[in-house]
Amino acid sequence: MLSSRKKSCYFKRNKIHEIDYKDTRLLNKFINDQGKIVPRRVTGTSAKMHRKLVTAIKRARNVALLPFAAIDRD
Amino acid sequence: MNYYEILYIVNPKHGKEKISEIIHDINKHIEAKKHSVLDHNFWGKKQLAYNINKEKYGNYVLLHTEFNDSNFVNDFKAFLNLNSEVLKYLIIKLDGKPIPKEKIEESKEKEDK
Repeated sequence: MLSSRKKSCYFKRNKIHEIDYKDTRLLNKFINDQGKIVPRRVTGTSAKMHRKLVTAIKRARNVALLPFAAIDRD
Repeated sequence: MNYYEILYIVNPKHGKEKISEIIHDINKHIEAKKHSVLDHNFWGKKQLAYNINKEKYGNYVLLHTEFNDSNFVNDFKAFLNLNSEVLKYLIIKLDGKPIPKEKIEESKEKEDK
């Protein structure tokens, strides 16, 4: 009865082979509102691209393009 | 001979002239040792995702360089660490010759509007 929708890899669909850490618009799709990396089981990215995604996000965090943790700051 | 991509953040406290002076100094440091700066891209003042040295904003500068000697990376890191105007930096070794990334930024700007 329960039909699970097959998830497909975002990068495969859009024919992206390399992930640039400077492309925060793209990386923002794969972090949640807390700034955490969304797990592969949720996003459906392939293992290979997920590994590249993780390094890209961590690089972006290092130069303050993405937050390590999103806390309200006023 | 290796290609490197360097992104660094300059303290936003200074005026435009002082910033271009700092950038010039860094480029000069590379060129003085016969290494070359292939591409130099000033992103301008951007908000940081988190505070660095109590600063909320930073001026981003992206460099594509070619170093003849891989030991120069450590030398360059030491230079940036000593430079108090550079808040943070990231050095990445590239597999091949870098392609200008202007196209990506142009498309991003369009989406922002």
